[in-house]
Amino acid sequence: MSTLDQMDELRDGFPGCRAVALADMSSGIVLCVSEIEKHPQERLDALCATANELFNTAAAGKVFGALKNGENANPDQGMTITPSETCIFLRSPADPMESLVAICNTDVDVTLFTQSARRTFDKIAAEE
Amino acid sequence: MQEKLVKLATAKKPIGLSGHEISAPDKDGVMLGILNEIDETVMARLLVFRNGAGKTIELEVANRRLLRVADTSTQTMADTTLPGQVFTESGGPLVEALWEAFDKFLSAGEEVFVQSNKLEQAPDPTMIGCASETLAQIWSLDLYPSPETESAGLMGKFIATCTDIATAWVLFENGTVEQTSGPEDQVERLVKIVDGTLAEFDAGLNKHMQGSEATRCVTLGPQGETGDVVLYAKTMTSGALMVLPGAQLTDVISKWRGLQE
Repeated sequence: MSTLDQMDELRDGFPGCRAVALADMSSGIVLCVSEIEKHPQERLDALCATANELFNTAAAGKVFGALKNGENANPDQGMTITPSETCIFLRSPADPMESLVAICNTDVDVTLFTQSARRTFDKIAAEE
Repeated sequence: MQEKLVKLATAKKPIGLSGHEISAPDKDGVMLGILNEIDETVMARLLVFRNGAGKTIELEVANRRLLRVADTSTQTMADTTLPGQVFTESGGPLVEALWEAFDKFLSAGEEVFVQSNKLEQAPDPTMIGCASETLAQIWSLDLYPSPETESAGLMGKFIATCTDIATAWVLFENGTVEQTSGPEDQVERLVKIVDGTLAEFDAGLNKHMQGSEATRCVTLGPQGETGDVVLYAKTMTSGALMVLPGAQLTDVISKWRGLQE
C-alpha cells in the first residue's frame, strides 16, 4: 500500500477528518496530502511551519518540560484547537524532521484519531 | 404517541409557555441574566420569571428600568410585601427585599424561564423606576463586564471544569500567575514557564496561526499513546497552563469549546 493510500485510509476512517498531510519540517515542504477538498498551498505551508514550531523550537521544548519526563526532550505530538477545527500533529517515529498533520472538524475524537494516526504513521515509517 | 408524552412530561420548559430559558452555571449568573432581561426591555412589558418549581416573580419594566413588582408567588414574605411597590431611581430598601426574593426563588435550582407579556394598562408616567445598572451595582454584580473581566471569568470557568482532571495547573492574568494547584514541583515548573518561555512560544505560534492570537488552545505531548500532556489555553490577557492525562484530552477540548460558544 502506498503512503498516500495509507493516508487516505486513515482519513476515510474518520468522517470528521478533512485532510492528512505528510510534511518535511526541515525544508518546510508538504510531501503529500490526502484531502476531501483542496486546501490552499499557503494553508498547508503554514501547518508545516506550525509543526516545526511545536516540535523543534527551544520555546516549545521548554513548555513541554512542564512534564516530568519532558525535561531535555521535545514533544512528539501536538494539537491546535480553534473554534472551527482541530489540527493534530505527530512527529515521525523514523525521521524526527518529518511530521503528519491532520485537519479535523471540531467533533472528531482526538484520542481515537491520534491512536489511529500513530499506527498509520508507524506503518508509513516502516515502509520508508 | 407514548414517546411524545414522555418527551412532554420531561420537557424542561413549562408546557404552554412561550419565552426562553435563562441558564447560567451559578446563581449570580442567573441574576445577571434576569438583569439583562430588564436591561433589554425598552417598551413597557410584564416580565414573568418562572423557576423549575413553578414559582413566579412578575416585574413591570419599561425603558430598561424596573418600575414595580406586579406579583410574586415565591411563598416567602415577599409575596405580601413586594407586589405593587414602586421602585425609585436610587432603589431603596425594596431592592434588598427583591434580592432576597430572587435568592429564595433561585434556591430551587438555577433554571429560570422568562416570558415577556403586554401590560394590561400603560404604566403611570410618573413612575421613574430603578435602572438595571443600579440594581446590578446594589447587588454587586457586573452587568457590563469589560472584555478583560469576561476573559478572566471564562478562563476561571475552564479551570473549574478541569480541576478533577488536571494533575497540576496555573491560572495567569497579564503574565502574572494568580492561582495554582497540584504537586509543588510540577507547579513550580509551570510557573517558571509562564514567567519565562511562554511569551516566546506564543510569538512563534502567532507567526503561523494568524487569526488565533487572542484566543488559543494548544497541547504538547510525548511519543506514544499514554502519559500526560501539557495544555496551554488563553483568551485575551487570561491564560492557563496545565498538565493532564492524554486520555482525557477529548473531554477537556470539548469543555474548552463549550465555553467558547
